[in-house]
Amino acid sequence: MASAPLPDLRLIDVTRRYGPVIAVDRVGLDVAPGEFVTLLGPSGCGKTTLLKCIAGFLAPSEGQVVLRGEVVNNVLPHLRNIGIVFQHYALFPHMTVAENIAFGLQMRKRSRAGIAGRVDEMLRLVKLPGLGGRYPHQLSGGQQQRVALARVLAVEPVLLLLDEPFGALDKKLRVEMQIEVKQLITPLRMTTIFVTHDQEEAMRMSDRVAVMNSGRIVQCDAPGAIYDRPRDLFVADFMGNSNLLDAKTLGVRGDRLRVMVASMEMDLPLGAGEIGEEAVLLVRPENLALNVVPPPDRPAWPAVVTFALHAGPLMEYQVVVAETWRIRVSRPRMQSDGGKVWKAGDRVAVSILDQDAVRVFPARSE
Amino acid sequence: MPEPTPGGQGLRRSATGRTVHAARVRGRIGHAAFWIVIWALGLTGLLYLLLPTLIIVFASLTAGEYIAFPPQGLSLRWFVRLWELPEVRVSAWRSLLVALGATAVSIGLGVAAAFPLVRSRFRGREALNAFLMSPLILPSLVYGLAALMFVSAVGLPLSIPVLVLSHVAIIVPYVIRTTAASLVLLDPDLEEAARSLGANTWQTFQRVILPNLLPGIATGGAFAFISSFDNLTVSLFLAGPRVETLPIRLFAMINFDLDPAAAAISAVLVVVAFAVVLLAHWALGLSRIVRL
Amino acid sequence: MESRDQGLTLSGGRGTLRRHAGWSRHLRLWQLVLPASLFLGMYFVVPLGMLFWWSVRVPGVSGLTLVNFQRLLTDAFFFETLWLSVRLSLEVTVVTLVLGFPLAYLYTRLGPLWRVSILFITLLPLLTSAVVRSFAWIVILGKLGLVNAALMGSGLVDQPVKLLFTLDGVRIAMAQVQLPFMLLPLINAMEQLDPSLERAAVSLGASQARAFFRVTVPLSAPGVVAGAILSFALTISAFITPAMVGGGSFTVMPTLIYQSAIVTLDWATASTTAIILLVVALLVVWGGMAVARHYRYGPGSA
Repeated sequence: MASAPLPDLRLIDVTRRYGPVIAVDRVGLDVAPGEFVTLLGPSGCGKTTLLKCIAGFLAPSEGQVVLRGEVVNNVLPHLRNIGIVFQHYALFPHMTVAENIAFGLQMRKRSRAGIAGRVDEMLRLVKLPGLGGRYPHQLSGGQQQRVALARVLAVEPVLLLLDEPFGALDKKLRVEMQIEVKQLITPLRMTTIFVTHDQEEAMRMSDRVAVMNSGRIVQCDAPGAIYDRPRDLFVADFMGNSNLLDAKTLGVRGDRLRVMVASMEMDLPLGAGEIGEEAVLLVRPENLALNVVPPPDRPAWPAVVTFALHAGPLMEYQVVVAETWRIRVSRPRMQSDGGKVWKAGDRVAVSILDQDAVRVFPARSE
Repeated sequence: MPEPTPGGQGLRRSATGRTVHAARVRGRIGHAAFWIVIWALGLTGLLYLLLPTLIIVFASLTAGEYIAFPPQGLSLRWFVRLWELPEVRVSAWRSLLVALGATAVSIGLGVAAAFPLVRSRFRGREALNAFLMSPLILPSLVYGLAALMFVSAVGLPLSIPVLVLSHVAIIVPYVIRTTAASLVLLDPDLEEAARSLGANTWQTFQRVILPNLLPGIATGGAFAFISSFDNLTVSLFLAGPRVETLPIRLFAMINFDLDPAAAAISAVLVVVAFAVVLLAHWALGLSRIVRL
Repeated sequence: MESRDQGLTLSGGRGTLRRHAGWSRHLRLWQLVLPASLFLGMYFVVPLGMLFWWSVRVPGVSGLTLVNFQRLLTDAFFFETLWLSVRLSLEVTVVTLVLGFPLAYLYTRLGPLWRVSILFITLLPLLTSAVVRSFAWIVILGKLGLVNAALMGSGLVDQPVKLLFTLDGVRIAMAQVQLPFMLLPLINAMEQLDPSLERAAVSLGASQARAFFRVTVPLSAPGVVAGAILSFALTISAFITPAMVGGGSFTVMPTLIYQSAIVTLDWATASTTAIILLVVALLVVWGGMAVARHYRYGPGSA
């Protein structure tokens, strides 16, 4: 029986403490060869610290870092053959582009001819042929980014670490670079760990996303699964926009869970989440519809539109139910059924489009 | 999932397990050696910087008749003795007067000069800045000689005021520099806010600008003061015959025997310097001063 | 006359002190710089002019002449003194570099408590009078001083080693006196280096030592040059420490200046020596700055 291929990276109970502070708390993760995993979380969640532990710049207080089956806790960073792209690229300003790319190869004592050939190959790969003689400060941000990638790919590392590499770019360039980078590394089947705090970026680029909070990996799943089935309120709140509505659980009826939310009862699928007396419902803004009169097939709340914002392809509304519950709704502006565009003051009926997409969580203990 | 093993699939492509292991051991030795050398040299440098200051303070506390190692007990008798020596008291007082006078004048000239250097833009501003800073790079010995020539050519007798003015020339750059640094840090929006609320120039200066400049002025003033108090070379040229400042007195006292009284004077100067560094750190922060 | 006050500061920021009604209407901002400028113009520039004047005048010869310079530069003793000054300054600069560079590097790698301590220990001697510092070295190097007490006490030597009033003693003392002047520009330069540069080199396979020599050292070159220039210029014009720690055992340029000015009252020689000293120092400064410019690596480096 063939076993699964050995993961390129295994983190086993990796912990890193600074005195009483636990920056990384018993993190476990397996990354398969060629997989693109993102470490996602707010500032201070420990993702950068974890990255440094993988790279070898920090030693874990406990636990093991395993690269291709080998425990590397005691291996110095320069011997781990891990490629890192830093947030501000860290291109050597006193070396030309070609010398930058050649650096790792020189450290591995390749022949001069071999190095020159490889440098040219890399420059072509990142679509910067002929720019070998320039200095980093003569290049644009996007070009520097590509040189940083070329430098790292030249040595064929076993693992690629990308530390918020698009942080310094403006939005448009960012999206372009995301596509470019993926196009570069996917055919190379390069195992990649990507660190970011931008969840859109994470979802767009990753095979799996590891959401981190306070040093722990809270959930590690494919992007869709994280978005549709967040494991707890933190993940639900962090990924995308959400409405979090207080609700009361009334009971189980067959395979349905009856809850009371905003003075209305409704039935949700039983597998929607945890059951508790007090609960919090997660309803995504795109999962809500606004109608003039309540639709016949599903429960609806009467509400008043308080904000109507034109957000490019979407309209973003805030509606208030019974003067208490503020709910965000987003609808595409162009709809095939000729959906109405509302304005502030309109009275509407708010209803959940797909009750199966609603998640239930136990109420937060404040 | 097989358990991870040490010496497994090797991270370097074309190396055997044993070569990889040897490279790692060498790596660790090299790493340790590098840091040992860096730390050794660094700590040597640090001790080297600190040693003379510590020694002199230590020597001033000796209970014996002369400085010796190991010392013959500790006592403050030499500090008491300083007070009894009229030449020391007179020269210390003179140094204090000169330093206070020079500092006061420098603050007046320097604070005023800092404003246009920071806030105005005019052609030659960079050159003017370099000019005003130039006493810092001229050797004070050369300046002392030049000032002496000037003063005797003009026919002024050597006196305290003349000495004060010559000190001002070499210490005013300190005040300008720290005041300018403080001024750069001052958010100009604060001034505009004050104005929009009705304050005139003087009120803005007094209630908004000056309080925020005080750390810079205080630090510059402290550096200026101690540069004047410590100064030997310019004073040697311009103090005049038989007129002594404290550094001159100290210079004269130091001969072949290791006189603890001289050490005591030195210790006093060290304590003053220590106070100035503390003030500078509290006012502006040492890291900011270093970047000046 | 229009107010041309514009915003811009020497190193960033905006804002003006605008003119307002009242007494300040007649006061332009730039006029505030006049008192200091005039003072220095009169009390600094003019004296230097006099210095220059004295060096190019010879009694009995009308007009300007370079006779003084010729006389001194062809004098063997003078040349020896000049050469000794230059050599001593170079030696001291090298020592301060060797000790200062690792310390500056450590500074960038250590925490805030270490940093403040290092700065404190560096600044304290700077604000202590040169007389005090030299006296401290006399106490350390003298026959009954610390070094000899330690050497004799531990039995390494039978007789006190003569360090005071020798060139070696002055070297040791001057290196300590100048170390802060080398250290501060180095720290400044290294602080501005992007720390991820070294990490990038390491991640590409360079050991810590190789990353240090291939990345940190070259990028610190401007700081090294700045420190070296400062250290050299200050050592070559130092009077107090060579006088006190060296005794009369040898002469350097500043000693010559002092002696001819105050002792022999030969102001022509004094001023000429001073000018030559300034020229040599300036040459080194300019040379150093040219070297520094050659090593500028564009924005993003030190």
